[in-house]
Amino acid sequence: MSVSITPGFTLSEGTFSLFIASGDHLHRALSGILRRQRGRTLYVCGNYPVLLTRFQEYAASFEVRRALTAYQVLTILDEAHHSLLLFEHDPTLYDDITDLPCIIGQKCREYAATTGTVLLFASQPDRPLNLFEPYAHRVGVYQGEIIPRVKPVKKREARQKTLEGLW
Amino acid sequence: MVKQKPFVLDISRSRDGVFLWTTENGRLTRESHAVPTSFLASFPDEHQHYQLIEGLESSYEVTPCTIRTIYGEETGYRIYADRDVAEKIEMQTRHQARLYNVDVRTEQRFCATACVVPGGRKGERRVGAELKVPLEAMEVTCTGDPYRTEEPGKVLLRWHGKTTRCDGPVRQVLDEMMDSIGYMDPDIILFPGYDAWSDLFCRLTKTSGIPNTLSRTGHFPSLQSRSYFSYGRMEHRTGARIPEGRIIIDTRQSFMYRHGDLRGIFLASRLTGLSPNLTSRLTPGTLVSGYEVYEALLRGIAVPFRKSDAEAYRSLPDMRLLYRGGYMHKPVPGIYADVTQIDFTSFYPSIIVTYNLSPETLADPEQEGFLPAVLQPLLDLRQETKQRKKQDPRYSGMDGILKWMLVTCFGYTGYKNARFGRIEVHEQITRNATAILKNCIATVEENKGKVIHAIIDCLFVTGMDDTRLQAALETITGFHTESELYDWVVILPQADGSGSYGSYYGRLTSGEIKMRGIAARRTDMPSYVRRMQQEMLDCLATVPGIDDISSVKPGIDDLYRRYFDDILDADLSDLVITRRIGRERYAKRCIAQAVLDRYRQDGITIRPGMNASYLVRDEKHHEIDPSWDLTTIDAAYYRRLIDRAYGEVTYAFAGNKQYTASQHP
Repeated sequence: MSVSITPGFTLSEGTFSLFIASGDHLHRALSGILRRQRGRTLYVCGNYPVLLTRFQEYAASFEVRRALTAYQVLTILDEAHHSLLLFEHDPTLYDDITDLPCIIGQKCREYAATTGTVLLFASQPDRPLNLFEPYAHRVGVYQGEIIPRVKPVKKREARQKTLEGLW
Repeated sequence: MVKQKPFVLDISRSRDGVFLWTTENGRLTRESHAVPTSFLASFPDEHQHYQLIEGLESSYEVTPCTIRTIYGEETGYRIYADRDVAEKIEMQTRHQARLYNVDVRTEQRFCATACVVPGGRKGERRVGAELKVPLEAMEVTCTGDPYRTEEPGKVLLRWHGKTTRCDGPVRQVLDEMMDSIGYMDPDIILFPGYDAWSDLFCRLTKTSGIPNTLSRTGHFPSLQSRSYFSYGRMEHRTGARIPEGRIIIDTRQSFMYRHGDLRGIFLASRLTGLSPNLTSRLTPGTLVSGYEVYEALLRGIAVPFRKSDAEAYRSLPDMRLLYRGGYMHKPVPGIYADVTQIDFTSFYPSIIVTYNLSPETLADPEQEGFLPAVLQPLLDLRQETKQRKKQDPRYSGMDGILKWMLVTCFGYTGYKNARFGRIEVHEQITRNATAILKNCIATVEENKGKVIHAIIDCLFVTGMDDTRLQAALETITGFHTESELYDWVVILPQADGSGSYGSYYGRLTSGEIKMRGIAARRTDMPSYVRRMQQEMLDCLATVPGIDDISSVKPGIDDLYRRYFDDILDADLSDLVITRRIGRERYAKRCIAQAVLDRYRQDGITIRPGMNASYLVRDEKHHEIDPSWDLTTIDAAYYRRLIDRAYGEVTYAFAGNKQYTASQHP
């Protein structure tokens, strides 16, 4: 299954994708994914996720696992068995640890090949994110604004058939 | 006469192990002990890494072993090599290998094996309130400012009631100072500002060819300076050159010394197996970590090198509901008569022990948890020191250290790098605490009492006999409590008019005023304002009855008028404000940024978490004078501080009405 997260960027099954966009855009894009996702989804984030709380609407459709250190990210990737892994990037996990983003990047790629799709997302690029880049199958940076598609307004049929309710 | 066993003064690292410094009948001995460096490693898939294991076996001593962790046992290897090798294994296995005991300090490894700890006598009880520790200390003071000059100024050495004065050019001062210290050879030196001076002393003595006698080996391992965020605020630790074989405590800088004196510092050393030179410079959180590591070594439990045990799977609604922090019952601001304050002693640690909360018991609540097992002796010792200090003030220092260690052991369970912590344990503790506190509030209400304020581990109750109240709460919780009785308590309002959680004062039945969060207690208030409010509170302390409290208002108004009018004649040093600077740079122009700029002009860089002392010269234009160059004050700014401090006191007369400016005399 492939899901278009923004014009020109599709999330394909069995891939590790890296996507950078504004918070609002990420919210819209990920909401679309969560709406359509049928398998088990895991949301991986740091101690202070920025976007997580914006997905209340879909809370029942995914599990969350927080990592307080980069080593815990490795454990989470080792133990995960979900068909979709949404990974909110947290640069503070990699403070002073330069080798771990590469190892986590490799693990994400292996996970995509063996277990499920991985989407690593962030609202802005940073140094650790650059280290993930060589391991991603696709990298997308969205800078434009989304123009919401306007649905044609359907004329609704009034439910009230009589004047009964007015009395 | 019973012969005393040798006292272990210090422990320091040597090339191949440790030096143990002991004193017996005034005679100092240095013992050298070899401590082999080793760590433990286990591989989830050994066959995948057979080449690596063979390679290790060919270069180092490697023995197969069973590794005991808090989660259970795993098979692995003991590798007699250092941290560099461990890090290479990590890289080569792409962090699949699990490593243990890699960064455990050599001193702790030795102490755990030899059952000897610094700060105590050989062969005596380690976790105990030991009074017989050497307390004879030399006091050293320098008149210079280590942040502004490279000259120590005059140096005074006080030893056995005599003062030695070292004065003159820098070289002469250093020569006399080092010579005197070498000759008098004290085991302990109390030296305000030592940490800031230490690097300069090392450099100057080296360049001048003067032997630096501050360390008995001549070596000074470095403790790096660092800024860190702790309990919601930025802190700074000054770097220091640590002596060996002699204990030097920076009495100005050391938090642990301020709260624990020498007996407390030695107790911390006995608990952690670390040198008193270190325990006086570490934070309570690091001491707790050191204590847990030491206990793990004693119990044969491996200490993980990396924090890799992640939080369990959660649902989003659970994450929001399960962690709400400590419970707080919002108070209504006002003045209340006949109040009993009930405090739970070491509430959170008691919950950890009673409910067996530990990372490994989350999955298996029946097994004995590591955290409860190691905290139980600390809790018992705290009960002992808390009781004993009421009769004998010599126990206060040890009680202070234990208090801070127990306070931080809860927060440490949620710290990202805690060796034996998990965020779920942290959450479970607060959930239990909230349930207990709510249960207490319900009990008070069933007994026709009224809870006016409750916060985390403490309740303020009116309308109930204190003895009956304390007994009832101890019965339903099973925890030990302390009670204090007030004739009256004033709970101050917040800016929005609701009651403040942390700003209150009251008259205890002993006639003493107890206060929290008000000007007289705030360290960032000028002493002029603190003194005014303290005098006002002293007036209030003369009134036991809430109905007569307005009788002292004229006296308080007089004090206010005097301090308000005399502000321009006040000694400028009385108006100096000392506050912590939290950042390296502020986005907007403000007083804190002005302080940073002015200090920088004078060649001083303030690191986040450092304190700065200054006078506000012109608030509107953000102009300040540093404490060494005081010129004039912005009277309006200081009068506003006076108004605020006065307002806090006169709120007692306003009852539960908001204090307004029209109430000024």
